[in-house]
Amino acid sequence: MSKPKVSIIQLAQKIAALPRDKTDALLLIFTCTFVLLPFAEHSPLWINSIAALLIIWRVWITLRGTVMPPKWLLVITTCALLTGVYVHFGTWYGKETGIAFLMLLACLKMLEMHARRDAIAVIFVCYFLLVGQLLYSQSLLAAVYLLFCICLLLSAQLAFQYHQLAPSLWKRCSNGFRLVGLALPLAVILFLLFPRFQAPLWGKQQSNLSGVTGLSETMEPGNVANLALSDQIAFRVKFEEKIPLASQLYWRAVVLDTYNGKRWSTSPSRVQQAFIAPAPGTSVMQEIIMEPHNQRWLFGLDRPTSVSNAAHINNERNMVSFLTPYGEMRSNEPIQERIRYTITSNLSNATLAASNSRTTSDRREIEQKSLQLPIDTNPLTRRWTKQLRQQSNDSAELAKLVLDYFREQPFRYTMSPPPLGNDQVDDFLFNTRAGFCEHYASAFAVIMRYLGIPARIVTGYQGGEMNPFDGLMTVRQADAHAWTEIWIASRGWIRIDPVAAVSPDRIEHGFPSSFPSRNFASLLGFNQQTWLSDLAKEWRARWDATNSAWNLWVLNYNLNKQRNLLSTLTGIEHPQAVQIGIAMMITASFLAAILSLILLRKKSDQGPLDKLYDDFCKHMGNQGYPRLAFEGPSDYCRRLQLAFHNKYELVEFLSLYTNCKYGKGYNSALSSTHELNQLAKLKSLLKLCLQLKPANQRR
Amino acid sequence: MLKRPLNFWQYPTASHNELILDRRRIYILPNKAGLTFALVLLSIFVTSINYGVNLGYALNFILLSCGWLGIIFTFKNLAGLGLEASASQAVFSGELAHFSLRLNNRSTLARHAILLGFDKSSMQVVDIHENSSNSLRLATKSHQRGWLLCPRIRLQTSFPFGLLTAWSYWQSAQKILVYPAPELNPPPLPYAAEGASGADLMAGNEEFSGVRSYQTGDSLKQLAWRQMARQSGGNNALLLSKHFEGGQRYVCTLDFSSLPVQLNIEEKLSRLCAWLLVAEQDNVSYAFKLGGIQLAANSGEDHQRACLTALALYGAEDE
Repeated sequence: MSKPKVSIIQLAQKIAALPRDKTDALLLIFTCTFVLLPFAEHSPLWINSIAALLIIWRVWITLRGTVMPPKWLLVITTCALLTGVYVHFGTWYGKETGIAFLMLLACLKMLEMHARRDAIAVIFVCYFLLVGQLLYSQSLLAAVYLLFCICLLLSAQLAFQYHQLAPSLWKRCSNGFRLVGLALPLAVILFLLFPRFQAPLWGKQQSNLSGVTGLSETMEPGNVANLALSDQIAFRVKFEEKIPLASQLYWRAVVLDTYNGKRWSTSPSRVQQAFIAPAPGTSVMQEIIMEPHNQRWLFGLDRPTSVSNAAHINNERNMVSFLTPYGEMRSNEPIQERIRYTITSNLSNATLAASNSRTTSDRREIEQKSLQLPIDTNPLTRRWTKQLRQQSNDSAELAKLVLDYFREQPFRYTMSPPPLGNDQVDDFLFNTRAGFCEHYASAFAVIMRYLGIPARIVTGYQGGEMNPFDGLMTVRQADAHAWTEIWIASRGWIRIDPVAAVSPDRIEHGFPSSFPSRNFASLLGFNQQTWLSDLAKEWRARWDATNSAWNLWVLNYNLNKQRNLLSTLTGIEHPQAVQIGIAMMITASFLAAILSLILLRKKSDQGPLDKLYDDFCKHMGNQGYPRLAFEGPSDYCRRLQLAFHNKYELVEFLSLYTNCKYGKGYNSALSSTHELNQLAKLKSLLKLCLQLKPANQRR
Repeated sequence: MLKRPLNFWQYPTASHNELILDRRRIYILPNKAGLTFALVLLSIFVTSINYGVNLGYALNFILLSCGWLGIIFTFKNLAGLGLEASASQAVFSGELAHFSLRLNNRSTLARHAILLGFDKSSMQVVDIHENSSNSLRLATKSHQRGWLLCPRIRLQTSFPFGLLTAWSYWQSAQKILVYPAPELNPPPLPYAAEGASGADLMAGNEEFSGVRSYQTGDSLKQLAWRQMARQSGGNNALLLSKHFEGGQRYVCTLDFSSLPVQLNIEEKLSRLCAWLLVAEQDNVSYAFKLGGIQLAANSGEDHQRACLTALALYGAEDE
């Protein structure tokens, strides 16, 4: 165990023992590596490997002391690599190209580092690359990493400025951290009060959301189960009033009503029709902060009655949101940024069976669509439904019979079910009998359709976790779910979740409890309810709350928030951007002035000894016996002795001072303990002297 | 009481000769690297606005604040530095004149990488430890005899960031005496230039006859070191000179007016200078006449210096 530790210490000692130019070069290379590291995830493999090779080469040159590569080789390599970048991306413009270009440039420049100027060039390229990091991620962790990189870069920049007299390697490395500490107050003021611009300066922002996980517009077996592995947050909810029961937390997203035997998808013709209002019930207001998913649907508790326009949290740009006849919430453009909106939902599990004539025809159409099935599939199911049909005629009763079947037969709820054959529902119902929510929902809807009951699939999320630290409910991708809705003439569309029949735990307690093996704590071999799992849960909640606050207050700090801040601080109502700018200048100048006064303060040249003597003379001066300019301590002492009647502390103080100041062995550096002792003694004597009053005054 | 806050900025003037750099003498501007840094900041800023990266603003402002700290620290690296001229040696024209100076650092922090020089192209770099001082010499070529005033000294530093350059100028009152350049191959010393008394018999220097107490004017080469050590034994300094008899010591007169007419003034001064050096080397006593200055025959460093000074300043008194 201790062996690697020892070798690390040895390595550190070895590095510290290197000559200064080498340690400085290593510091720069190390820093540059840190700056480039986050890009490895996003840039192509060949660029990563070439950058790594160049860095290793540079480290080798430093450690071995071999010569730098000749200029012609560097020129050729640079040209080849730049051509490579162009060929790979097909353009000179764009974020990826720019970053790849700068990465290679920084690495190559390190191989051509002869003068201080070259090192500074590398550092400047790295500064700019830091913004590149932010284009990929602005999370809290990314910010901490960014700050670390800034500190290291500043240290490296400073390390190259020293001449011969330079502090230790450790001091040189920590320089940047101290500087950033000093720079932060001013930076915070500027960050808070610099007026934010509303829109991009030019062009349209590119989305960074190519590989976002989330629900899709189709559903096949396995789709939702894949999502269940993701711990990412889908959205967070703030309830205005009471929090609904766990079994009511059905977050509706997409309605799928077209089935081709394998895949459920949305119907191609989605005309905007009148919305069918849900039946009256408890109304719940929710404010939802949604992560971008590059799709157009929004989430809300089943069934939504109204939805506010969604607003980008970042720049308060509004997007039009509306409700579809299917009871879905949609936005008119893909959601590529974090948004916020308010939804009012009705917890009743049915739609209004309205007799409005205009909507009746629409409804007919929807019902018709919800009965279509591919022909010549699932023969066993068809035969089975025929038997069922003989048992009852009532839709609700039939649905109950099917759910009973799921409950009574040995159906399993599992994340990794065996694959299904061509007749998926047959296979599932009579053979494998194991599946995830999409299997159950799909099978149930198909059965209903065979029975002549209109049925459709709804996907979304089920459940959610209250975060005790900020009172918001977090819904994760892992909470993704699929359920069914069937049409019953008297009640409209009602929600039926077949999973509730098979695995009621999933609905009551949320996802993790139905799959203990997925839990982090149980991976370590602990049982469900140990202190460790509780601790893990608590920390996850804390982390989510912190991240959420970070997103709201730092990343989405915008003009509106600035206005609020300024009006609460100064009382100005509806401040304009110009006023914010003026406030920034005033505050920043004040802070800068105060900091400069502190930093430029002249430290007293006096040693502690002189300071004591100075205090003594000042006191005596106040008593009417100032020290004359030509008077040494012993002459002064003689004169004071007369005035103060030979007070011993006075004599002792001055003689000890004379001894310390002019006697042999006194060193102004105050290194030895003996001198410190003498100083302490002088201090106590001075305290006595300061109480002295001249003898004639006492009379 | 009221004056205290004003004193806050001022540095104590330590001694009469010393100059302390304060804010009125220090200029500061961004250098080339600083301008590039500003360009980097601008591009970070534009990128942040365009992509709506809020943390980009934070990055930009942190770096900006560091730049501002740079102004303070760079200024502080130079401010309060004490400059003092110290004694410098006279040189012959054409040689490098070395101006000695001391840099006093009274601060509790070391000062790093301060560049000093007469012009930007040739600067020396010095570091000064905290609470200490550094002596250094700045050289400049001397061209003309007479007093050489110390050229304006430029001090500059861009420590700690290298983005800003703070500089200051110091016109020191120091001056160096430049003697005329000695003639390269001078004619032999003019021993008999003045009639019969040209070769006077002075104190001999061939045969050692004993020691006597030192008298002003005795050459240092005549000091009887061994006898002095033997006799004095302790601390009391008793200077003894060796006394020679027999032999002859030549005396010559170096007279400006007796030099050939075809030489111009500078050439004459050069020849006298060369003769002075030769005479001193050969241990010949020489009398010296230059315009109104007449020095009796003598030898030794002081005599030589007086003569050389007279040569260096010949014609300068009128001005």
